[in-house]
Amino acid sequence: MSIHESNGSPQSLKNASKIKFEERRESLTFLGLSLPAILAILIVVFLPIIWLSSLSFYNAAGELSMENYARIYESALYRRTFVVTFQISIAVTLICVLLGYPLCYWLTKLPDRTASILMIFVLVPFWTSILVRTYAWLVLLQRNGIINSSLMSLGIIDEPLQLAHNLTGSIIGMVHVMLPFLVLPLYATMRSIDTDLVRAAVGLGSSPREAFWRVFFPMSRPGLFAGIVLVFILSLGFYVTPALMGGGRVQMLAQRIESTITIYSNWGAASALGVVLLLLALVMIWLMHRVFGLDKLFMR
Amino acid sequence: MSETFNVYKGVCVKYHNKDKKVSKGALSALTVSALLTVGVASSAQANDEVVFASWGGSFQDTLRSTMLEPASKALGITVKEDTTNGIQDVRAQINAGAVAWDVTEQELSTCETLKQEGSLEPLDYNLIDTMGVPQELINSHYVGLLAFTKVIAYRKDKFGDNGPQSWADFWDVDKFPGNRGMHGKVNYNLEAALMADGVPVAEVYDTLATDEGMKRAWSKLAEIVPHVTVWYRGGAQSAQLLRDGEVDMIHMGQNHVGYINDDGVGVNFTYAGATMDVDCLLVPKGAPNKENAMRLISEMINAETQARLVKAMPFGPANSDAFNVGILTDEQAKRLPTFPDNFAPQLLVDPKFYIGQLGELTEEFDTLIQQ
Repeated sequence: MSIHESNGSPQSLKNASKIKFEERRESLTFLGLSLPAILAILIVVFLPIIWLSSLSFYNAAGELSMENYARIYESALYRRTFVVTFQISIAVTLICVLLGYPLCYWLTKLPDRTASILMIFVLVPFWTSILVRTYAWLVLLQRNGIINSSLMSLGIIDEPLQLAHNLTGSIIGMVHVMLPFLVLPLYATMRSIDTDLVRAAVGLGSSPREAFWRVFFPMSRPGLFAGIVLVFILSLGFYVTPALMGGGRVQMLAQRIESTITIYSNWGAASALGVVLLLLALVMIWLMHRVFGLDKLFMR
Repeated sequence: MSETFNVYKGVCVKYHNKDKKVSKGALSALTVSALLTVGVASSAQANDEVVFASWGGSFQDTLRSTMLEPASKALGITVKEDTTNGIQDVRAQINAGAVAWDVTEQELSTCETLKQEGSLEPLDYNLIDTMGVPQELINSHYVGLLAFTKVIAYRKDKFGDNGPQSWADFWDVDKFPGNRGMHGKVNYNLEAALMADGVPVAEVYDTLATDEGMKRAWSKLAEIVPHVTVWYRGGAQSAQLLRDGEVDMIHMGQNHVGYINDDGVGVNFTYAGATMDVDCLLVPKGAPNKENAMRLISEMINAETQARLVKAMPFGPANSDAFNVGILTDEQAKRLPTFPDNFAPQLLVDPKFYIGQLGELTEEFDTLIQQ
């Protein structure tokens, strides 16, 4: 095109306006293309959230009140539920990092073909229904399950370990569900790291350990943080696994929301909990943004 | 005390009373007139179907073969099915203004709660034949379907035939060591705790009505909490827990016990202190096929249908004429939880007790069992 060739002032003015026009046309085209998605998000996500949030300010009699929030604030049960929810989410995130980081690192060291095959093993459970996986864990972990019976026949333990129907079982089940959410972004980041840089560091006299911590690890951090945020936020609202693996005594926030819907005749009681969960998730994302710099993760 | 308490005595008394006959002529005349009304009044696509929701699983399979399919044939309409998890499903449909179910089975306390909330269509007893159903099970907005009971069941490989025979035994962790399972809801557990503390069956609800009785129930319940391995969520799960040996004794639906025995795991149970409750049929407000709903209910509570159901699964029939239609043998009748000898040591759950305080009590219960 002649855009870059022209220097004459009337011609360049003409070109400038042409460029502006093109730009505007392009941005309109893209707006048009994303309009369905934007509308879908508005209608399917934002409107229900606004509707549910507004419900939380009405009591059972349909009057405007802060009753639902007062109950959350005053009740020891809800406070305990929040504490348990955070404890479990933090534990699950930590274990996922401890398991997922070495796994991803190892995968990046393997030849492409082998790594792809092994990634399938990470992804297969990701495609399997959570319910199926949770029941599979129950079969493994329960009193007469494979793990306990093997350990007992090997003489390692005399009494079966209580692995299911408690906090341990819930965390094991949740880690299994959440691990792919950490592995996927982390692995993608690690694959894109230029390993020549690590070699260069070693070549310049760094020890391999130092090269890892000062060159490789900082470059893998965006993927790691993305994974941590995903796992933590998803764990906060998790329902199925603790409900089935917790033996009824591990009660996370999502279970409390369900139970609240069942026992109170007004939806406000449950939606207030949902609003608090949403706010907590937003606060956590903001905090992580302050600590990790999430904008750098998503706008590279 | 609730008037439903007399129902079972009614059922039991009528057990040998075989001289009653359901008036078939009247019923079919009603059906024909109902068909005509429906044909004229409602829209074309809606009048040949009805949507029914129950608890799913093998239970609903039994309802299908014994009740829904015969009803569908008799009425000439399609019975579509869905499953329910309880009161919140009905509320959700009504709140959303999108009622999809015409008839659903719920617990008695749910029926009463929904009625008080104004969420139910009144039942049209011109279309529903209640012949043989005790008056106590007939309400303006719902009607009894069956009585079910939850018993203390235990594994024979652990206790032989001398397992826990009462709630006091269930609480006695020295005499009966082993893992315990209970339902993770407050309902029936407060009652069980009082019975374990020595309160006679007949005085349970009078005791719970007082503040100190309530306190007594909570502190007794707290004693067993550390020994409960699983607070289960549903009937199928309770059966799995006992079958797989995850628990050695459990408070579970009697209708599931037979299946565990069929699987070759020796299980025994006692009716002592068993908690008996009633399920009822209701029509949510705004149901799309109201007339068909009434006709389906009528089919489901008639004596023959009821007899077929309790022959297939050990429930108490809502229609006491079920014993007189020649479907149940004496042997089969004796296995039902409403048989006089079986019924005597059981606690009949008062559906009104939890209404209005279910939220509060559930939260206290969840606080108690929370880890």
